[in-house]
Amino acid sequence: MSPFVQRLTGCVFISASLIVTAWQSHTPAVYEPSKPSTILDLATLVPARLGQWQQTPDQHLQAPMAPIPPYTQLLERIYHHSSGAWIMLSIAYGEQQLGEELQPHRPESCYQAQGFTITRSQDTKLQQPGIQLPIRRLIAQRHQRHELISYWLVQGDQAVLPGLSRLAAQWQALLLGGHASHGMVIRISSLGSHAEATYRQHDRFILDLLNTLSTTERMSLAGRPVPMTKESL
Amino acid sequence: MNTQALRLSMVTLLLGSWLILFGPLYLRLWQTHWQEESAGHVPLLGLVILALLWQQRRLWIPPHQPISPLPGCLLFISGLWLAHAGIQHGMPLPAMMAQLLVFAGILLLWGGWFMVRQLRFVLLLLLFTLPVPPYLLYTLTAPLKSLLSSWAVGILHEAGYSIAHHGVMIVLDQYRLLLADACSGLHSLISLTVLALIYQHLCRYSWPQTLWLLLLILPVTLLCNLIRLLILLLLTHSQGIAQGLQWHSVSGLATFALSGLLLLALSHVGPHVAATLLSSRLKNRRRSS
Repeated sequence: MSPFVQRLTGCVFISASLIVTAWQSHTPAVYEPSKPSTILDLATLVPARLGQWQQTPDQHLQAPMAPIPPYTQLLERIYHHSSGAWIMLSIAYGEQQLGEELQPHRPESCYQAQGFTITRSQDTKLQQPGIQLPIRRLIAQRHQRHELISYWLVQGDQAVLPGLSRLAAQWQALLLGGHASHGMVIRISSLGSHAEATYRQHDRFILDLLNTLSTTERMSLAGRPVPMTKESL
Repeated sequence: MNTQALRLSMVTLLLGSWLILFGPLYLRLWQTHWQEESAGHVPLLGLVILALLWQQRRLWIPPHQPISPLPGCLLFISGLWLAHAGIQHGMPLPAMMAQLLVFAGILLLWGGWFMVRQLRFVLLLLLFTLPVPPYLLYTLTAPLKSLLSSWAVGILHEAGYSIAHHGVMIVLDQYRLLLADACSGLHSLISLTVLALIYQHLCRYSWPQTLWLLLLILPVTLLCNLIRLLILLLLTHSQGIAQGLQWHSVSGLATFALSGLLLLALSHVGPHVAATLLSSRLKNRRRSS
């Protein structure tokens, strides 16, 4: 074979592999319905009653808000505890949580856009057997209104906070095969001035919520806990 | 068939299949990410890369150099894999990284490390087409932003205006101005770096000269944006917030152009000054001896 023919063969080979890759890639990833975590219906997933908490019909939320892209589902509820406490729960779910230009909207920027100032931001971990949840605590203030917020993100099947850990989860899912592109933002907030007591209430609510769910349902809200994976395999 | 036509058809084949794979991605980014200030340079950069490849078209005939099949195939295949994952999940960063790997792989298969050395500048430019994650950009520019607002406020305060700032919030007369990410103009740092790199390549700068040019980027950007911010604040003070906002919307591009010109002009001045200083010192030494 002359060197030129060799190059030509190489060239055809390269072009063919580029086209085959294109052929394989340009149909967007399809989620197999057989995997339970992939079909989510937030409204049925989150029960109206969990532990001591009861969902209350609220005047402010009567007109259900349409989810803003990239989110495909939005759940906004107010729960009332028998002791008299109130909590707002908001979950935004996107089936196609696409790359960086559509990264999850951080609650920080949502609140700031509404004129709130974030006066505190702190990361903690909520731990219980089988549950390990990274949580970011915010205090948003607008005039006399203090709103205390706890939130986390789910990226693929991991619970993360914005920034490097979210990016790492996305890449891990991308390279090792997983649901890199779906995700959600789970936010719990309430009004109050005593931060620590309110955050303890948030934790109780989160645990009550997660404990009423089945293992697979819990995984879709709290991700796959790292130590659990080895046991379940 | 003559070799000329054969060579052209090979390159067309490669370019065509490249566009089949990456074209849809370019279209999507054109509508979204490339509209942002931090990535506005990327489409232009694409044209520059094409022009450089045309300029080096003598390399399209496979050079008489040993090819590197193993690293070439590895880079090429891993690039295709990353492209597949990135495009399928709609993530621009891995897809654009894949572009770099695939290109390097093709170069190695075409003419070995010789080709990579010949086209290393194109590879460097491809690096700048990668989308920078927003949080990374934020962490890098946030300190510069607060520095900028504190300088502007300091200057105007010294000049006797009633002005104060709290972080990036500037209080001027009855107005409260928030210096947002985009307003600070610092997102154009990446575009300016690319401009500087292309310029030094065209002018065949020496290493020290290139280094001097790159070192100038940050101070020049800060200076130009400081001027922009000062004009914005003074306009708001004298003409009201509406005039200030109008200036704000027109000054972005002007600031970029000004910083670009200033940067390139200063890059020529630097070596001259250094040379004059050096020669005068040598003369003095001669005189004293």
